[in-house]
Amino acid sequence: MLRRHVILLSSIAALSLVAPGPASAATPKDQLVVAMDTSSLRGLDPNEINQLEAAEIVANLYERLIVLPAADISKPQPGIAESWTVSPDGKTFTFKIRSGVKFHSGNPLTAKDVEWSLRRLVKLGLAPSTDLRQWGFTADNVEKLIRATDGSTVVVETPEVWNSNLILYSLASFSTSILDSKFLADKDKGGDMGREFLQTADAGSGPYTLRTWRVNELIIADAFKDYWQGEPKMRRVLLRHIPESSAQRLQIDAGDADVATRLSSTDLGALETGGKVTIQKTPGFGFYYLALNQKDEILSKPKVREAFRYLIDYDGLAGTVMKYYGIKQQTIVPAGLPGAIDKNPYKLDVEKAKQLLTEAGYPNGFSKVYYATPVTPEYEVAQSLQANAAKAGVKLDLQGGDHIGKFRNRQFEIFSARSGDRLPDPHAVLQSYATNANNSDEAKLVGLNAWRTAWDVPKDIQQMVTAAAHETDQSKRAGLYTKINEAYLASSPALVTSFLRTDAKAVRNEVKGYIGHSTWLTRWDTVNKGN
Amino acid sequence: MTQDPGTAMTKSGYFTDLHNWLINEDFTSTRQARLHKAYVAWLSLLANPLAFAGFAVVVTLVIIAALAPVLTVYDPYGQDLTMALKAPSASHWFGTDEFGRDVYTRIVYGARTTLYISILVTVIVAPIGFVIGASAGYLGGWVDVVLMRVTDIFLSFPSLVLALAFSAALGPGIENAVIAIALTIWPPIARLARAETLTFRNADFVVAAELQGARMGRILLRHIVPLCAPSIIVRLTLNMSSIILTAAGLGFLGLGAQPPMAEWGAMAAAGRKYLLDAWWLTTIPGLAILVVSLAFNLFGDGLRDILDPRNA
Amino acid sequence: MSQTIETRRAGSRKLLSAGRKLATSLAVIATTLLGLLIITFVVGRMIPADPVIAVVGDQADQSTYDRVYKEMGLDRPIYVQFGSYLADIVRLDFGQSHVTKNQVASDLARVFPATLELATLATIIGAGFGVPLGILSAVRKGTWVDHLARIVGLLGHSTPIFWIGTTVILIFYANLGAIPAGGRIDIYNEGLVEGPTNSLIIDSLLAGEWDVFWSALHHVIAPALILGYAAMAYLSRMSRSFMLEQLRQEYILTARAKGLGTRPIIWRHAFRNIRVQLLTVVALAYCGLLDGTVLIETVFSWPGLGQYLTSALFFADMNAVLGSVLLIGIISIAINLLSDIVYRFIDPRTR
Repeated sequence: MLRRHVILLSSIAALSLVAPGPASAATPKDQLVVAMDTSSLRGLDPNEINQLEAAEIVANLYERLIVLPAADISKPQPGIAESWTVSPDGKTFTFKIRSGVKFHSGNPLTAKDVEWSLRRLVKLGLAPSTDLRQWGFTADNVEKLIRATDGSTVVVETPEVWNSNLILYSLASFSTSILDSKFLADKDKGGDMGREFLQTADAGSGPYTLRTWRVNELIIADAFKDYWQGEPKMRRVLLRHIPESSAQRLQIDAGDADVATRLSSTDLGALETGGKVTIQKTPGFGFYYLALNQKDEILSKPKVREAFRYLIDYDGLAGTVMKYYGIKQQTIVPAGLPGAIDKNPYKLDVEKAKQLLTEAGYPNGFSKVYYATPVTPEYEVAQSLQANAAKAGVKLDLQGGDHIGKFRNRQFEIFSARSGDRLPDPHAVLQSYATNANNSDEAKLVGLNAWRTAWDVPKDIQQMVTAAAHETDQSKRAGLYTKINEAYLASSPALVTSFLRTDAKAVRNEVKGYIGHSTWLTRWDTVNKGN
Repeated sequence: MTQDPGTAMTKSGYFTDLHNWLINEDFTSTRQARLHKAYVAWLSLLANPLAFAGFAVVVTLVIIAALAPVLTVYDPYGQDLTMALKAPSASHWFGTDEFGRDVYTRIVYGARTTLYISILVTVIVAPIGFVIGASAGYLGGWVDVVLMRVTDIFLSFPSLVLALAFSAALGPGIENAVIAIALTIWPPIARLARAETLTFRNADFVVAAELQGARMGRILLRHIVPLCAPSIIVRLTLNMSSIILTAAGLGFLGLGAQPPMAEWGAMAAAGRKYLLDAWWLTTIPGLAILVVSLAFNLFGDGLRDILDPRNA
Repeated sequence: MSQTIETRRAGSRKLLSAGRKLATSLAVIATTLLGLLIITFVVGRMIPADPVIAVVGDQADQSTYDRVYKEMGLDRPIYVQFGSYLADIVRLDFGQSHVTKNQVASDLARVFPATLELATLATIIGAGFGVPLGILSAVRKGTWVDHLARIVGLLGHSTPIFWIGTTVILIFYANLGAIPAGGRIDIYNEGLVEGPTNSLIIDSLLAGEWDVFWSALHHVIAPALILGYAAMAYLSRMSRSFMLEQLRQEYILTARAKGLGTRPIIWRHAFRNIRVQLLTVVALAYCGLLDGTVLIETVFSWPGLGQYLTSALFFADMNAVLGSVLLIGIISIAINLLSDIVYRFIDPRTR
């Protein structure tokens, strides 16, 4: 009896191990399977999200006035806006809205929807509202400044004169997506303008509609049949939550996934040598940075700040951990943008760092608490710095965790992370890293990395950053950014940049047209599998 | 008792004499009686090969932890990115990790972390659990009700979930992990101490001590502790294994020990990112945890047979 | 006549004491629940990450931050917060998760069946192998079977469960391709079955969707076997000692003396007597598995309660942490209570 029992159970177990699982091997020709880490996905409201994976989804559910093509991201192209004009004084933008565009609900897209959506972004005032708020739009003035003048015309007036590209870029960001105001009218809950509803639903006009969303499991989007540019080739896009890099690698290698978006450097390296997969490295507009709190007596010494720049193993990391995640860059204007310079004078040099520390009055080093987020590759970069600092006598007590709140409130000693801005313009980065109009605790400019670091950025740099943003002459602007870039590099900054962020994706060779977008707006409707 | 396998070892005359002196039950001094007890325990440990193996591993672990610098040539924290993820070889017995650190060295130093955590938790938990349990059992009444209610509340969570919640609340770090684990380990000890205390509560010697006016603290310390000690020691030894596993689980989830400290669970977790290219990074720390935790279980099991036959 | 009065009195006295017992145990449950709530509340408030930033994002300005801080009720005194937390819980309202943006209650309703499915299967495997193994080693005490069972059991107690999970994935998925990498089901079978029980295995059987059934079984088997092994270790140990105790009893010796065969003695007599005890330890093993699921779900990307809880902890999702810890606590209490009741009613000695 006993034995029979055991045998029975074992054979059930064995049977299910060899059970004919549905034949996988390759994904269907008309479906795209993307392996993602969706654990930090928080809702899908375009005016609330602030994160890469969510942005890619929103980019395909909704559309915007302006399109920035992945191939040449600095040239604004017509999207929902068929055409536009800028007034001679540079303050009034007039957009002609395309006719014949339909929302997923069947409602036609009109100028009213554009007005409602842009106002909603500013009024809700959540994370991505910076995209418009930074140009001076507020909940109080937005009704006056952004308005539909007729069924197909929208006028956007800026409170100040800004370089027109900055405004156009902002209107291409996921946050300025156009929402179906008619459809959302009855979804309002206590004046939230449909915020609660939109967390898990869509109200857009994009090439895909949201079909299923099971948190941390699966997102399914179906092609929108009435899409104004024609029905997309991929009938369905499946986004599968696979947090483990090795699992993503195995699945894309076996053909169970077409695209993998969260792979470690070693896994990317192995896939690249495998030959079935192409690795895309999309440069982003952000940096891996080290923040040294200037309220700290030791860290505020320029020589100490300078010493830290000699403790980062730029070349060692570039060849290993950062191989696919970043490009070595010690200046502040992202490569490829106006004003960028190819200059990386620093390298790992413990002796030099020791000497600087001695000159600063700390021959025996010191110890500091170091906050970093325990994710690849940020944590590896942090651990590498920790080990090098130890050699120079600086003891860093590395504490992994979600410390961004402490960073925002200046309650830290040393912090490192990576930033990600979404405007293909130097201003986006410089505003955060190199402006800090009021360095007092009370000012609470919590959105700026420079304020968070309590770094009173040299006044000449700050003035140049402001001047460049208002400058309408493009070549003068580029000249200014080169100057800012040099000045920042020479200033022993409290925000040390080491790598320009790149986002690496593995795409199977048979998948064409999946092109990583620097401002996170990768499109699915351009994808085909050679059919 | 003379047929005990232990006697086989005592061949020379001196050892035979010592053996006879120790085994003899006609004691001439309390010292002899105590030594006799320890010796008999030792002999029964030898008689139980599995328990003895567990004991041997535990002793080895202590020696490894103590002699870590002597046993290794590399720096456990020294990074060399050019040597990252090298497979096991003659120069790196267990390979290298993602920072080019020697895994063998880190395993050896990890023994220190493991011992540090398990000893610290035990040192915290033993007195707390005993005091709570013994006072509940000794005083009875509402004290008993309140204390046991609190104990039950803590017991009602699965221990890893509770430890996870506490260490998330306290923040990462090894000291916080110790506190979090201690918070989940004390209730069973308190329960045990209470049960043991209850059995002795009305024993003649306790009542006699009370009549002589001894205070509670003195009674607990002088009379109850020695009687409870064996079963609590056994329990604590068996707990070592669950402390180690919980600590490793926390390390695995990114709580617990923080870099660059060598901790087996955290090492296994970090290695999971390189699972396909560097199997040694997860496999070896995992085996280390398995061996040590098994050893404590075997040793604890054997200890129970010796010290606490009532509960065997 | 007097006799009936006597019995009636005795009856009412019995009823009275039963009522008192019921009241006591209700009070016990109530205080335990209150304690659970306090602990979860304290833990939720102590998590170092900032829940407001989890909502508004890292770049938000101070006015947005302050507004959301108020919206979340964090500006109120702590006892007021606890009060409203209690009031919400009573209404089974766990609040909204900041991460998933769903009601925590509906999230739990979605993730819990996945865990339940896994834990149930693991318990079945653990009991199916563990109990016979324990009995066998009791019957053959001291033989190699016994030693082997003991080592297997101790191994189960000593192995880090996440490590077996990783190793199994490395060998059976990466090298042999025999099992899937993780998740509950193949992606193409997603959404085909939405059934009454939320257990994919049962629902697909009910719907007659064989592809889905095999896919679900294929996915669950590795994590279930690993968890089942841990349960088996515990259950074989317990059933061995229960059985040994029975075998020492006099009636067994009598039955043996009467010439009854070993098999009927064990199954007809001894096993029957340890059924209740076994039931209790199986229930305890079930509770213990909730622990194991936390780690194994992470390893196998199983979309269950354990994964939900760990990710909630990492993203400072207070409401989700409170909800899931509370759920686990309540389940543990309920299972313990149930096994207690069963014990009382079935076992004649405790009646």
